[in-house]
Amino acid sequence: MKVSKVLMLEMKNILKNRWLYVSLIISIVLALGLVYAIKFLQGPFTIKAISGFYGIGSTVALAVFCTKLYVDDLSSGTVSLFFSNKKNRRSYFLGKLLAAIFLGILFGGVCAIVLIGASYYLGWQVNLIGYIIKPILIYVLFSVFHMELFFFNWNILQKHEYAYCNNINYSTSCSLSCRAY
Amino acid sequence: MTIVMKNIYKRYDKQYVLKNISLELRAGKIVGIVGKNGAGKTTLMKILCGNIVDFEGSVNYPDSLSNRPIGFLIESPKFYPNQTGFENLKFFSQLFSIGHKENIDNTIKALDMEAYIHKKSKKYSLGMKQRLGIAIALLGNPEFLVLDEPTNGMDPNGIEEILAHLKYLAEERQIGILISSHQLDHIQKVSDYILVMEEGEAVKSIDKDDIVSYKHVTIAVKSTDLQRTKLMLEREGFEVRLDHHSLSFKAKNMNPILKKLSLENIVLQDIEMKEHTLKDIYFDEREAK
Repeated sequence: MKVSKVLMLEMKNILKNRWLYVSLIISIVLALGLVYAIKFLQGPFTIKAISGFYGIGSTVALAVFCTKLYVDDLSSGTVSLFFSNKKNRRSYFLGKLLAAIFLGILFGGVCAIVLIGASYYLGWQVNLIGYIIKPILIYVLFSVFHMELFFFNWNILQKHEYAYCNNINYSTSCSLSCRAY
Repeated sequence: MTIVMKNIYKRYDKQYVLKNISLELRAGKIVGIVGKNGAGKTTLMKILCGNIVDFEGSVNYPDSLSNRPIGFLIESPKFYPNQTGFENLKFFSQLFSIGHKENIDNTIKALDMEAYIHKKSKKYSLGMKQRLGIAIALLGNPEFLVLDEPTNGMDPNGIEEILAHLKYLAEERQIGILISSHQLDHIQKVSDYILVMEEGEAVKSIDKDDIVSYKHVTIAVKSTDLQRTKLMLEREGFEVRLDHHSLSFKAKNMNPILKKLSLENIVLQDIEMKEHTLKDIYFDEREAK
């Protein structure tokens, strides 16, 4: 099982999910609502508030999508099919991590587009680097954090036999001569 | 090619669920595991498949060129319920890079799943889910198969088909198969070698030839000859059970016994012979324990 395969299939699943687009649309609408308030109602809001309104929808959606990366496999039990050897376990974990980063880039990228679009529309000065790099970085960190939070909760608190910690740590009394295939 | 498990111990907290189990799974052979609930069958299978790595002992895998050397179905079939059976098979074949559409189509055909393969798998019956689980295990032509109660929930026709298919996989495709079941007649039908487990230990290992070569014999003689016949059989090394006016024992070949009886002028009034089965061995072993 390769990391690239896990990532490609995960990305395919993410992009096929209609709720991704629903949550992005809701987030954009919330942000555009504030843009409307600024433009037509003289709302005393800054670009930070627009990104904040976008974040109301996007942060919730992103947290759900990141935990969903594992929840689908745990609830269906398919996680046991992936955890058959050390290489597969590593590929699974890395693939999911990259998928979470992809989600962060997606939501952060849309946020960047909204901020740049809103700034041009409102006639504000556009800080290209700040409006692109910062949201993407923040959303990537957010998505990785939520994915790891769920992952470590599952491992440490649940003591599940498929938990990654149990599977990468060998007992000291184990006189293992098995070769990972 | 052989997978060799040696001196396997597995502990949960302070309790050992597997104690000193050794097993060899060879290409082209079917090994059956039987035992009551909690005997450790599933745990042993999980260790073999690599799902459990925290154990004592050794598991040696052969060098393999295959992307997916072991296909397995343990406890219950695992798949995504919101996808169709076909989508599940396609997903796993892509994930493990074992994907050819022909491979998937052949697997579907072999397991007679054409009628429902494009339906959402959450709507499947238990037997259909089992077949899907077996199909996922068979993807990529693995060199070894580990199946935990694969005929669970299946109709009688389905059971016959699956058992026949397993025999075909072992004999024609030289796949080594480890199978567990509570249905002793299923295990007897397909297995070359059977391991009886009890409370984490291997209590008996049986070759299939040992099962089929014996017969249960019940003979009826005159009441005056009963004790004499019993003594004669016991002298020949048979374990005889006296049951009202008949004597029961296990024997491979009746000819020498019949000769002895005629030499002793013992007249047989009735004789009944039944096939010796795995069930007999299993319950005899449990009684002895």
